[in-house]
Order: sequence, then C-alpha cells, then structure tokens
Amino acid sequence: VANPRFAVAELWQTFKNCHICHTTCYTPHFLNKGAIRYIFLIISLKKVITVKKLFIFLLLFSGLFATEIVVDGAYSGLLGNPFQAKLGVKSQDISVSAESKMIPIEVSTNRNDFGSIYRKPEFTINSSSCQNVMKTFFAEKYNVVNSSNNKASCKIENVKVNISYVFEKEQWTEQISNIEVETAWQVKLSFDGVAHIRNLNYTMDKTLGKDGTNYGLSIRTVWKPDTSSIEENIKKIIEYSMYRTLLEKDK
Amino acid sequence: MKKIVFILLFCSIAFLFTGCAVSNGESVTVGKFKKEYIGNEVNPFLYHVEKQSVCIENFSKKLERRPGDRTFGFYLEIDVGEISSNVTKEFFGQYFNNVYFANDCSNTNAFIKTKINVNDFRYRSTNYLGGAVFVSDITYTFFLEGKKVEKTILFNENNEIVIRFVTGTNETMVEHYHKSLINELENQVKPILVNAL
Repeated sequence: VANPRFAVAELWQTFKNCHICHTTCYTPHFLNKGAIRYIFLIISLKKVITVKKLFIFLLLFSGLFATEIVVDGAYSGLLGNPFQAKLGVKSQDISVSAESKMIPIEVSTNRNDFGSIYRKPEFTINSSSCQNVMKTFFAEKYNVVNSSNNKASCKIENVKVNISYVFEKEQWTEQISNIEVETAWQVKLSFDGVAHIRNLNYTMDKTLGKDGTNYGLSIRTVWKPDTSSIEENIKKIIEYSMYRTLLEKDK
Repeated sequence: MKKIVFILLFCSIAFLFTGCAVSNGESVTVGKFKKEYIGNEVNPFLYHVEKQSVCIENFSKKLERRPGDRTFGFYLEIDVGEISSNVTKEFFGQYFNNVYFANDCSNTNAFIKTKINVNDFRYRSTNYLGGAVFVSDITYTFFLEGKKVEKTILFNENNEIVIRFVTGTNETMVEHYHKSLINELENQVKPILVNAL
C-alpha cells in the first residue's frame, strides 16, 4: 500500500458500510478474506506503534474462536404487545428456566473458496438463551417469577444457518444476499401439574416472515438496510422465529 | 392575421391566469386519512392494555406541495394534521383499549399524552419512469408518568424512502405517507416508549 491514508479510508469505508441490504451484505467477520486483507493494510501503515500491534494480535486471536450468537430477547421484547407486558394486570404466575450448554451452529453457504486462512464463518449459541424469548412471550399474560406452580422450560437443540453470498465479476464477494436460519428447540410446559412437551422447528430468512405484499400491486418500498452485523441479523431471525412458533402454538 | 394574434394573446392570458392545466381541477390531489391504507399494517389480534389510556392532542395542518422545485402544474394538498393524528391513533389502538383525542391532554389523566407536529413535507420525482422520493419531518412529544420523551422522525436525503410505482399518481404518495408513518412509529417510536416505561 503506497498511501497509508488510502488504506485507512478504505478500512473506514468497509466498516461503515457493514450492513445487510436488499441484495447485498457486507460482513465484518474476522476470518473473512476482506478482514485479513484490511489487517495487512493496517500492518502496512508505516508508523505502527506497540498498541496497534497488540490490537492486531487480539483481533487475529479472537478470530480463532467461533462467534457466539447472544439471544437476549432484545427483538422479541418488542413483538406482540410490549405495553401489555409492562402495564397489564396479570392474575397468574409462571417460572421460566432452561439448561445451559454451548452448541455449535451448523453453517452452510453457496461459496466454495474457503480455505485454511479464509475460513467459513463459525457461530455458537447457548441452548438456554431461548428462555429470554419465552420470558418476553409469557410476560403479556403472566407474571414471570422465579418460582411458581406453572413452569416453562426450553432448550435449543439445533440451529442451522445458510448464508448466500453474491457471485460478481466471476468471483465471490463478501456481500450477502440472504441469511436463512432453521431453529429446532424443545419447549416443556407444566400447568397445574399437567406437562406438555413440544418439539418446535421453524425456518425463517431475512424477510422475518413478512410476505412483502402489504404495499399492494402498484407500489413497493425499497427494503430498508439493516445496519447491523451478520451476528445481529442471525440473532434477530432466531428471536422472530422463536416468538412466531410460540404464537402459532398458542392459538 | 389579427385573428391569429388575438387567439395567441387570449391563450397566453388564459395560461398566465389559470396555470398549466389547473383550470379543470383534476391536477390537485387532496390527501386525506384513509384507514384502508394501513389496514394490513395494523395488528388487531393483540391483547389490549385495559387500565391505562392514551390521549392525542388535536392537531390540524395542511400543506400544499409540488414535486421538487416546480412552481406550476399539478400539486398535492396533503392534510398532514388529519393523517398523522389518525395514523397515531391506529398505532396506539393496537396496544391500548382507550385511545382518544383532546384539545389539551394535560388536563386529562391519560397514561401517555401525545403531541404531534409535522414540520415539513416535500417530495420530488427521481426519473421520468415514476420514481419518487419524499422527505418528511415530524416531531412527536410524549409525556408518560411525568417523563417527557421527544422523538423527531426525519426522512431526509440520507435516509430517503424511495418508492417506485407503476402508475405514479399523487394518491400513491398519500398512501405511502400513511404506511411510512406507521412503520416509523413501530420501528422508531415504540422501542423508545417501551424502554421509557
């Protein structure tokens, strides 16, 4: 890199544009080719101080591990009627629990140029994180407490992610056109001593279950870019699909 | 020759005083609230909050806008006061059983008191195939439990909403205004209100 200023500008532009949009997506995954390239760009800057070296080391070191998808209920908490969850008067209690275990997420893509340096994205998820979605779901009808005769528990059994990359000018790009997530999880409900076990499975993509026909035949909007990272998008899809399966089973 | 000059003069005067094709009245679109525009956006199956109520302060404002910087030709008279008030009522109506209008919400015991002000609305064509962009600037002020929450929804040039329509009419602009507003209330305003509780 002849001009360090250009390298910095390019690096900034890439992370600024890190988003998934209607046809394309830029992912900031540490192990992808683009990121490695930009790390080399940083190294190529002439004045690299010790703090920067340390930062680069940490960046590379963190890339050795799979990224955890943290499902904390931030999205599912806004589904349904969140005002009812906070303000509504509820006569019954429920306790929600789950067993904790880290499970790897099965990732498949349409790309075929992954190697030892440029590795396929890897993710993990805590099997107990489903309880955060369940808490937001039950909060509309029940007081969610630690101990109650009504009990709900869950565990995530398997998550599969399919990432579609864009093939452009006879090469794979870091842009993503779609993310599809299949979530398999088990829910146990015990009301008045009667237990029910349900195995749930749902597949959802970036449209989040919306059919996109609400705007009629003569008018449609360009899909608004979601400026979050690939991990954030997977989290969002998982929370939406879990909430939706609970809603459908509740009917 | 005199007749030709007279006809030309008459046409020029007619054009100057009536504008381009305005005299038949069809070039003006009056944008009013229509519930069917947001029928699919509103979820009627949610549990409603029974105890607390929502008050929306009456707000009336009309804006006349032409696309882009045009000074003549067809224009849109949009009743932003009626549309924004009623769309907001439909939004809250999904969640609360009791949503009403009042001249002064501060005298009521509503749990959420809402003031709306539409600061601006503009639109322009992007190409001759019917593409259009609209820019709107709406400020919402909420009072809940003594807390003041203010949110300005701004669709500016950097965050413009682009619409493409097969048959571009001003009516589709009005329809899109409804849809965009309720989507912004869902995506921008609702998280703020929920977190403020």
